[in-house]
Amino acid sequence: MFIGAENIISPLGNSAEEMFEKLKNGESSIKNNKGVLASYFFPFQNLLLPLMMDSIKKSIELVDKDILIQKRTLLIVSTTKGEINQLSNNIRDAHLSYLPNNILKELSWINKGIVVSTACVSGLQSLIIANDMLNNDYYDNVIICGGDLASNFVLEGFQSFHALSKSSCRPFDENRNGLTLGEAVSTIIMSNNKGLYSQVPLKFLGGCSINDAHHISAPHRESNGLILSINNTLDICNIESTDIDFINAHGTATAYNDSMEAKAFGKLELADIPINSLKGFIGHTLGTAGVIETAICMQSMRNNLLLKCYGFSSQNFDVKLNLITENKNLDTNTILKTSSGFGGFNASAILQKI
Amino acid sequence: MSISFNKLKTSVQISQGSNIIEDSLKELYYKLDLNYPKFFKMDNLCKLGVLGAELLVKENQEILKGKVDIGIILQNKSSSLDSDIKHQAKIDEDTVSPAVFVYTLPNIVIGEISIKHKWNSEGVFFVDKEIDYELLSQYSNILLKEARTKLNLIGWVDVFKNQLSLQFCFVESEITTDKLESLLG
Repeated sequence: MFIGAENIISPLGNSAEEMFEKLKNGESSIKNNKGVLASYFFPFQNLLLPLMMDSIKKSIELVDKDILIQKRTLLIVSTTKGEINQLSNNIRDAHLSYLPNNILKELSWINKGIVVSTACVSGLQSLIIANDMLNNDYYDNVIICGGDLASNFVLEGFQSFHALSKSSCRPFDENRNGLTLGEAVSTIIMSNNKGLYSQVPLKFLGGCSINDAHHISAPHRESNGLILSINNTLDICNIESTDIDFINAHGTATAYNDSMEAKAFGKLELADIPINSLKGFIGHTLGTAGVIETAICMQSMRNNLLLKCYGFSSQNFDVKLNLITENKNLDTNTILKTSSGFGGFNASAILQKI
Repeated sequence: MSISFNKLKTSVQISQGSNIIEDSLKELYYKLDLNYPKFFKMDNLCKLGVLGAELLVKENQEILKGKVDIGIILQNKSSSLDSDIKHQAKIDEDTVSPAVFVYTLPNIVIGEISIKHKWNSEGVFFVDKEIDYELLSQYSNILLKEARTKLNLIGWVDVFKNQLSLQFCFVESEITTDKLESLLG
């Protein structure tokens, strides 16, 4: 199905183009704010809904709105914690369905709004579900909006896991020592109609999300879940691994996650393919991650420019990955995007130029 | 706590009013003779989901035989708010615990069920005000039609404070929204 109209609202800007320009110039949004290292909005944002509303409207400006209104349009909200800052004072708003319900109050032409909440794979899985819904003719267009805030709630939790990096996170680096949180919202519109978009869209070929049935907070030692996920995705998309030009990995910069991913790419003989993680630039944006990272990859494909893996300098995996150390001009036709997360979830998907 | 099966025992419903939820869940655990110590580490949402899956698995050994491609498509209203409140209280008391925090995601219940039964397949967690039979049946049909799963566990599992409700069923072939509603309802 077609994929385009990507928007990003992040500490680095309010459009995908603006964001990409900053990343191209090596700008990271991870900063130290009163002793806490994270990628924060400035000024501070306590509420998610207005940011999501803004991002969705900006994406809609990039398509023929009449087609969205006249045809069957689904909204998928991807989030882990929604309006978590409202937990103590207004628990009604902390329910995740609060977000699509309120978005639909304003955009009442949307046929239905749903929430996907599968930890760090929420974003990529939302895109996969959107594609599935379109392929099976349940809808004509799907608006996917990912959003999460770097709340104290989540920061405290990761801190208790000793999962937060002392310095800005270093994905796939041998000296990585944890993740850095980030916050952002991002919207993408998928459709069965190429004519929807004002700019030439890309194709989303398909994907899946597989449970490794191993542990709720630790990745599988032999990377079984991610390997099965990527193999199934190649199968679903009818793509050979040699067709892939670029991989955007999850790359949280925790010791276990990045090793698990490196092992999977090694076993799948994908280690020679140029690869990066974007979390060194923007932190781990949780339910937004799969959407915002795919949106940045779409910009990479449109510009034939792969971004360096910010924060990475050297590796010590058993199989050496082809990590991108400097921005690289490359005609990028087919890309693989992966995400893994708590609960043992491993999502993967493939995008291609038309 | 009340537990009811449909005629073929491919669906199960659990609900309860105002009893102490921990007691009810523990009672069911012993009744099922589960012998799964991990159970006691779980939050109430995961405990309920694992028990619901166990009730169905016990009744459907034949259709499960040799299958690992079992999809899990679940939904609820309260996400992980029941554990969120507990984690927030820990933050307020300055006694934050990873053992509580890890349950502040609704999809962990899918992880726990997958681990228990070694199901290595697709899973998704949706959240809405009430059960969306249309969405659940649509996604189940997609996974079965595309042969991405051979069987799906579909349903609703919700816990908030002392209120719990669960409606689970196994589905082996494409199903209409109405059929799913009659199976789960």
